[in-house]
Amino acid sequence: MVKIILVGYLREKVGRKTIEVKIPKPVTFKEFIEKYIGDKVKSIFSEDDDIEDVIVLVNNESITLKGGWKIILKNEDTVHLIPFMGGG
Amino acid sequence: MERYHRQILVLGEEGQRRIRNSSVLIVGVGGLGSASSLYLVSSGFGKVILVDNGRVELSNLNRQILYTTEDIGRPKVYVAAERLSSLNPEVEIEPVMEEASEDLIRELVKKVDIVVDGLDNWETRFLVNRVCVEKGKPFIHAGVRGMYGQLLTIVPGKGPCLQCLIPKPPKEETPIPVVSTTPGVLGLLQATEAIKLVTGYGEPSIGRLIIYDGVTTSFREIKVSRMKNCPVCSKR
Repeated sequence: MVKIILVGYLREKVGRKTIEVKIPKPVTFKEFIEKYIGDKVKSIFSEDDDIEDVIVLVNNESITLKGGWKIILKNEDTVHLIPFMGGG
Repeated sequence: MERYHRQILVLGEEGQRRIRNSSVLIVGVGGLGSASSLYLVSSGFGKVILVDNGRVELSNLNRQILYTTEDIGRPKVYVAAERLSSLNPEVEIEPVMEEASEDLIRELVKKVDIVVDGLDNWETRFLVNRVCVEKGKPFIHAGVRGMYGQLLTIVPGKGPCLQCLIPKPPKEETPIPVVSTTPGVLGLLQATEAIKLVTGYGEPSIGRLIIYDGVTTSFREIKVSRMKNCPVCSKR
C-alpha cells in the first residue's frame, strides 16, 4: 500500500486524513496521482504540472530534489502532502 | 534573579545565565514576532534585535499583540521596543527599521546566537535560511495559515535546512488568511525552542517538522531528512 497523509487544510479539502492505495507495480508520482488517486487529491495540484503547489515528501524526503513527478512510488512508501504555510 | 525564579526551578541558575548571555535576532515583528519576542524578553535573553520596516495597521491588530489601536501608523519596531523594554528593562532591545536586505541580514546574523523567523514571505525566509547556514547559526522557522502552522528548528550541520524541506520558493500568497491565535501558538513554540537551544534543556525540533492543527487541536510530527543535493546546506 502507498500511504498518503494529508496535512493541514489539505485534510479539510480532501475530507480525509490518510488514504491507502495498493498499486499493481511501481509507478511514477505523476501516474499515481493521475490514475490511482481520486479527483479530490488530484485537484490539489494545478494543471501546469507545478509540483511546487504543495510540499510533497516521500519517505520524509522532498521529491523536488529527487526527480519531482518522475519519482517512483512503491507499495510500502509513505507520502506526505503538506500545504505551504507562509504567514507570519 | 527573582524575576526568573520559577523558570530557574526548571532550567537551573546555569541555564538562566546562558539565556542572559545569549542574543536573538527576530526578523519580522508581526504575529509570530509579537508572540516570540514577548516570551524571549520575559525569559531574560540578554539582547534582542528586531527587524521590520512596517508600520502598525488596523488589520494587524487581531494577531500582532504587541500593538494597540493607538499605535496605528507608528513604526512596528519602535513600538515593539517600548513594550518589550517595559516588560523587562534588563534586556537590551535593538530596533532596526529597515527592509530585510541581504546586506542587513548578513550583518545582523553575525551579531547574534539565534535567529527567529517572524516573516510572512518565502523569499526573505530563504535568504535568512541561507545566511544562517553559511554562518552556522540556528534558525527557528515557523509559518502560519488559517488555523494551521508549522515549526522547524534548523541547526546547521545537525539536521535539514529550510530548503531541504522546500527546495524552491513557493508562490507567495497575499493576503494570507490567519486566525488570531495561530501565530501566537507558533511564536511561543519558537521562543521555547530558543530557550532549549541555549540552555541545552530538552530536545529541539531539529529534523522534525511540527504541524499545529488548530481545527482539531492537535500536533503532528513529520521527520524531515537532510537532502544530499540541497542547494544550500549539502556542501557544508
